[in-house]
Amino acid sequence: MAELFTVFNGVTLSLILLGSVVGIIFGAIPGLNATMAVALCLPFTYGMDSVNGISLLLALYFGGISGGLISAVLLRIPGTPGSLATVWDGGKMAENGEPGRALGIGITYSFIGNIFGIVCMALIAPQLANFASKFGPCEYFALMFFALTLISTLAEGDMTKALISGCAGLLVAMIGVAPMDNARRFTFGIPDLNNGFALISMMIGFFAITEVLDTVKDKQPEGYQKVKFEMKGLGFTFAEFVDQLGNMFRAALVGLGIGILPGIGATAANILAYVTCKSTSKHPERFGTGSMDGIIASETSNNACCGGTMIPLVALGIPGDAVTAIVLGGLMIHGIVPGPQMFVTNGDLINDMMIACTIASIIIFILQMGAIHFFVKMLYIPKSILLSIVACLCIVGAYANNNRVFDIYAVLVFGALGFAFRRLKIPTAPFMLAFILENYCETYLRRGLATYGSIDQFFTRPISAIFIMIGIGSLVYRIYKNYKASKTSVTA
Amino acid sequence: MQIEDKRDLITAVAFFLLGAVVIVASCNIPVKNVGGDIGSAFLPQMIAGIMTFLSIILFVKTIVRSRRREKIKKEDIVQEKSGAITKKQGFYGNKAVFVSFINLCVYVGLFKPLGFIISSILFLVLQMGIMTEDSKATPKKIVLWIVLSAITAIAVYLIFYEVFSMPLPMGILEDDE
Repeated sequence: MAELFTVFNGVTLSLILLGSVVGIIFGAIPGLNATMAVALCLPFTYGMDSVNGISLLLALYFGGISGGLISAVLLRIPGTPGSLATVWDGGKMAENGEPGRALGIGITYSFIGNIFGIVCMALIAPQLANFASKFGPCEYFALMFFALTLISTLAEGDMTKALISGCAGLLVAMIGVAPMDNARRFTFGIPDLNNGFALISMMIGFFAITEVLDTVKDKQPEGYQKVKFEMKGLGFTFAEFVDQLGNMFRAALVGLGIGILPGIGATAANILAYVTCKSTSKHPERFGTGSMDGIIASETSNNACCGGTMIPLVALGIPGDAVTAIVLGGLMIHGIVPGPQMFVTNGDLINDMMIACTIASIIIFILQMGAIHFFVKMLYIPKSILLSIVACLCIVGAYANNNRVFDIYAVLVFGALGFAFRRLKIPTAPFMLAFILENYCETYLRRGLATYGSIDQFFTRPISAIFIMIGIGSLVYRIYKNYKASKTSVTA
Repeated sequence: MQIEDKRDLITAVAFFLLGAVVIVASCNIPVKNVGGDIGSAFLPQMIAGIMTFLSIILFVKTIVRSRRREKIKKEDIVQEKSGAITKKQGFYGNKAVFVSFINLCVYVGLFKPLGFIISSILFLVLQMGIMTEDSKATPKKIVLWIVLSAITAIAVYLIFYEVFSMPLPMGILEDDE
C-alpha cells in the first residue's frame, strides 16, 4: 500500500502524464520513436529522485510504443517500427472508411497488451527471466529461423514471389560489416555502408515514400471524403471481444515471449505476432483485408513486449531492447543495480515501477481514446498538404536517427524499391520480416557454430530442435499447400 | 501475354540477375573462420543461390501459365486497369511519379548544402503543387503552400533545436563565425 503513495503524488503523476503525452507524440511521428524519446529525456531525470525519474522514462517508453498506431492507421506509415504490422490491417480498415474503429481497436488492445505485460512482470518475472536465461545461441537461432519460415504465411498469392522477396530482404540486410569476423560485405568501398542500412530508413522508404509516390500515380479526389466518423464505445462489440480472445492471447504471449528474450524488441515481436496469429487463425484470409484480427495481433503484441522487456531488466539486469538499455542507464544513474538482488535490495522500487507502468498505460488509453475525433480529423486535411509534410518529417526523422545524410539517401533507395515492389505485385511484408530478422539469425547461427564447433547442437538441444523442426515442417506444408492450390486454379 | 505475366517475368529476370551479382560479389568476401563458423561469404551465397533458383521457378511457371492461357484463349481476359480510381484529376501517372521522385532526390541532395529550412520549403511547395487535386496553381494556392511550408520547416527546425537539442543542417543560413 505504501508504494501506491510513493507514486500517487502530484509530481510523479504529472511526470507520468507528461511522459505519456511526449511518448505518444514521438511514437506517432514517423521517424521519431520511443528510443529517441527516452534517450532525449534521460538527462532531465538526473536531478529527480529515482521513482520520479524512472516513472518518467517508463511513461515515455509505453507512450512511444502505443503512439505508433496512430500514423500506422491514418497515414499507413508506422509511427514507430513496433507498429509496422498495424499498417496492414489498421491502414486498410481506415481506407475502408472506418478509421475511428481501427484506432479504437488499436488503442484498446495496446492497453490490454500493456496490462498483460505488467501483470506477467509482477507475477512471474524471476521464473520467466530464468527461462529466458536458458536460451543460448542455438535456441535464439532456432527461434529466429522459425520466425523466418513464417515468411510463407505472408505470401499474398504467389508463394514463389514471397520467398524471393524474403531472400532479397535477407541479402539487403547482409550489407555492411558481418557479425563475428567483421568482414565487410557488399560495401563497395563506401564507408557509410559499413553499418548497413538503418531499419528506420527501410521502414520510411517502404511505407512513407511509397505511399507518396502511389498517391501521386493514382491521383484521387483529395482526402478521405467518405469518412463517416461513427464509433460506438471502443469500436467493437462484446461479442467481437469474446471472439478475439484466442487471437489476443496468442499475440500477447508472442509479444511477451519476444520481450523477455534480451536484444530483440517490439519490432520483431509485432511482426512475429502478426504472422503467428495469421498462421494459427481459423480465418487467415481475413488478415490484410482491414480486419480487427490483424490490428489485435499487432497492437497487443508490441505492448505486451514492453512488459516483457522489463522482465530480464529487473530480474537479470539485462535490457530486453534498446529502450530498456537506456532505462537501465537511468536506474544505474540513481544508484540502482538491476539483477536478481534487486528483488531483495530494491523490491519497493520494482513495485513502484509496475505501478508507474500501470498508471502510464491508463493515462495513454484515456488520452488516445479521448483524442480519436481529433486524430481522425487529420484525414480531412488535403492529401497534397498532409503527405508532403509527412514526407518532410520522415526525411528529418531518418536524418535525426543517426545524424547521417546517408540514411536519407537510403530512404530514397527503399522508397523506389518499395514502389517497384508494389507495381510488380511483389509482397513487401516478407522483405521487411527478413530484413529485421537477418542479423539476429546470422549472429546466433555463427555464434553457435563457433561455440560448439558443429551444427549438431542445433538439433540435439530440445528447445532448438523443436523450433527448427516446426519451422521446416510449416514451410514444407505451406509450399505444398500453395502448389496444390495453384494446380487447382490452373485446371479450374 | 497478360500484364500479370509480364510483371512476373520482369520480377524473375531482375531477381535472377541480382542473385547472380551477389554470388559473384560474395567471392571477394574475406574468409576468416573461427571454430566451426561458416564465414561471412557462405550465407549470402546460399541465399543468393536460393533466390536465383526461385527466380528460375517463377520464370518457368510464368511461361507455362502464359502458354496455357493462350491455348484456352479466354475472351474474358481481365485487363489490368486501375479500376478503383473513380476520378482522376490533374497531373498523375508515371510522369507525376517521376517528377515527385526527382523532387525528393533534389530535396535530399540539397538537404545539407542549402540547409534544412530552405530545402524543405522548396520541396514542400513543389510537392504540394505536384500533388494538388486539380494541378492548378492559382496565386492564392501558391501563397498558401509557401506559408504552410515555411511554418512547417521553421517549426520543425525550432523543435529539433530548442526541445531536442539536435540542430538540423543550416546550410547557407549558417553563421560562419
